Amino acid sequence: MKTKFLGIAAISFLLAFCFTGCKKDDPEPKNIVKLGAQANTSVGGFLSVSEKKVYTMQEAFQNQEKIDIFCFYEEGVNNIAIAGPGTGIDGIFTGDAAPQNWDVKNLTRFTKPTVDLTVADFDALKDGDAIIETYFNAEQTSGYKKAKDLKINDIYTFKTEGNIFGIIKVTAVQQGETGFVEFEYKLK
Amino acid sequence: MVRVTVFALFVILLAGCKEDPPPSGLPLINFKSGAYTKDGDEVPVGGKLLFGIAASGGGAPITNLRVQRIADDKVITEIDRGLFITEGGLNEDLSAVKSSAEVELWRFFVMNANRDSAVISLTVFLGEGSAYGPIKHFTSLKMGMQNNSELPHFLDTNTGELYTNQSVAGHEALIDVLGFVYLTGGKMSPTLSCPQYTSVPGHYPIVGDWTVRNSTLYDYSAVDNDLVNPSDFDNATNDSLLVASYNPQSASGNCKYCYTGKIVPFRTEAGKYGLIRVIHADEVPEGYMELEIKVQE
Repeated sequence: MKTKFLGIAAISFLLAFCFTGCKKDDPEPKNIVKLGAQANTSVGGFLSVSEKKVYTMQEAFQNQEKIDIFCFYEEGVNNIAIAGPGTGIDGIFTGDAAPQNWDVKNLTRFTKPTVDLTVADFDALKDGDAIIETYFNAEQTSGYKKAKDLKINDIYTFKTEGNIFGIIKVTAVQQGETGFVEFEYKLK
Repeated sequence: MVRVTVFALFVILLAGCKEDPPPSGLPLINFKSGAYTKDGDEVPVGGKLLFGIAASGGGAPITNLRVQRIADDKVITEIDRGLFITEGGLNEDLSAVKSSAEVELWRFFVMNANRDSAVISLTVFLGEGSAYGPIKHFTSLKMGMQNNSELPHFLDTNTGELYTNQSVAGHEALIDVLGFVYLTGGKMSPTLSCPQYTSVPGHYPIVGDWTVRNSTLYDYSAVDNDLVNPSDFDNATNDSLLVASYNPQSASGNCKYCYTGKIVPFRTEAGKYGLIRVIHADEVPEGYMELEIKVQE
């Protein structure tokens, strides 16, 4: 009886010890966002970087000061693209809530990274890394108002009006006015 | 039977406890943009170099930063610092002074815990003229050793102000230099040190509680071998001698054998170069040091 009891106790102890020891760290959550183009009715198209939150156009109209990036489609040069409300894009969105009618239009700048970055390099970065800021090309004086004709694995950097620096990697694209772009982003 | 079951369970569970492979990303390093020295810049001798670098560990902690200046076929390791940065990566501004070499190649190297590394470099050329800077001169500063209850112990080399154990409260981040005496190598050694040095709380326990503990590096080889000429020290009216005297490859946060008459090149955490002449140094813990200091403005 005593031997049985000791055996059960030993097994219980071992199980508790081993399962506790096997605990794995949770993987770091990724910032992956999907933004719909102007006629996409199922996916919001307006991103607040500081909040890490996606809004529909109607919601964004009520939160103009928070919006840094939206997705739009324009056949030809731009195709599926992202820009900030301050970029001056007109005639894409319609209605009273369209960005051209906003009072606050944040300008977000987009540049290619200052050095060649591979997808593996992007994946190796951690959200919060100081190096992210260094990839933004602060000396670029034109062509920085949008990231256009996006394709999977494209890498862009950005700087919001509120001086948040980030880097994105495109993970999915569907062309068209009802299309979308999905990207992972990391912030300094 | 029970023993066999326990043993079997132990083996099964341990085998199931397989360790995750380390993160496979390589470290990344890049120059920061802004008012920093850039590749190809021309800087006159004595001119300030400022390098901004940032690095990511690639998923693993950053464990080492090494900065080397390669000039006149010599490799000078300016910084070789052990680190353990797990969050936010490395974000450093590093200052230096242009030597008289026509060309300097600067290499910035980081390594992560997986011993993977990344390196970037830039070249700085010698510019016209010179850009030696002004200095401050403190002719006499009396600093108590660890058991001296009369004199203050903690020195701010930027202002020449000395602080006591009481008055230093709130000013800890200004302190670059302190002194103590201890037995080493069979001799009592008047020693110059800095708040960050590991053995300092043993002499000054309050320093162990400081949230900011500056590192000052002293060129001990210049002290041991009397490399700075006293008349050169007397005649120094700009920072030329201060910069030229300091060799980062023989620098430590603790400088032993600072006897009377010794001249000690140093560099503060803020990157300022200076020279300390020991006018007087007692060899007992109740004694004091009298210092004459020339330091970059």
